[in-house]
Amino acid sequence: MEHQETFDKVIGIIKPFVKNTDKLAGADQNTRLLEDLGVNSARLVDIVLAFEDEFDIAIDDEAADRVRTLGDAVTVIQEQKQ
Amino acid sequence: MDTIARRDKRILALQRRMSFLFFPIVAPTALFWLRVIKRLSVRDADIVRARFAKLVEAEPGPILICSNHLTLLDTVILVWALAPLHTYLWHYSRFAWSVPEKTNFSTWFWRVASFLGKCVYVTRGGPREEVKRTLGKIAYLLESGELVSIFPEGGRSRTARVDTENFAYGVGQMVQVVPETKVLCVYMRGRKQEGYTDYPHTGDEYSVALEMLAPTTSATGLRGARDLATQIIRKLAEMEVAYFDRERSGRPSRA
Repeated sequence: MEHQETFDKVIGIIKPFVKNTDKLAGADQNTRLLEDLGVNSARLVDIVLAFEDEFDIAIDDEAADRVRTLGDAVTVIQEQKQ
Repeated sequence: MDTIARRDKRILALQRRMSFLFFPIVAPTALFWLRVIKRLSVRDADIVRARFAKLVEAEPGPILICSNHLTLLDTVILVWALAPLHTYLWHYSRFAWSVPEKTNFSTWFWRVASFLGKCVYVTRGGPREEVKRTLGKIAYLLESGELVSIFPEGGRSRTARVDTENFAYGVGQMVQVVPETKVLCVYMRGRKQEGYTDYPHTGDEYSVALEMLAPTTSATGLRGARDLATQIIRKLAEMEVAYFDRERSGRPSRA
């Protein structure tokens, strides 16, 4: 799957959890989930589980911990798919 | 679950001993503040306490107390509501350990008070190693027959109701590390408590309801933690509905 395609899917998945929706429109690889998009830290688990369901992958706890930005999310997903 | 470091075991043992030694000073002080200064009371206190004793005695395995959370003093009110304070001297493991957020205790006074109050700190969203260490301590305490109490919502509810949307899954991880753990759900609320506050309202009367839950899941990892946490939160939400039904009907609390 192409990087951009994964990125677009990630945006779609996190959308329901984002509080700062205006920031989502201009989001890029460096956009931080908690600080920039206002995602509740407790909901990061839901986001990781949604990635697992959407991409049919398993993300272990250590990999989940690395998801801080949208770029991190794409990287972790692509690593698990390989 | 990995065994915890010998140093941590020694610190917990020392903390328990110090807490016990200072209990005759700390407990009456807290009781004076609750009863005389704040004029708080527990509705049907005898029934609540008898039910707590019966539930704890009937359960030989580990027990995690999970309560809703509306004021900063909920831990203290919980300890007071669940048993007459002097009985803790005979059953000190029933004086539950608490797991508060570390950053809430920045002054030496509160550090000492929390040490004597059997607190094990947690840092929400902290480094994985630190979270694992805290989970290890909690598992050790539960397996040692100590009661541990936490607020599964992860903080005081901003909606004034059990937050079934934005709760943390940490409680699920705690149950995962000691799978035979039973959860004593406690719904506790003052009649004047309309929203979350720092301190309880003066002169308030608390209702306390207790139900034992055995959460289970076939899922593992984060999914399992979410599943377990959801069961606990739903139980508290059910108890909240029952509380408001009782309030509306004017029937007294029967724990």
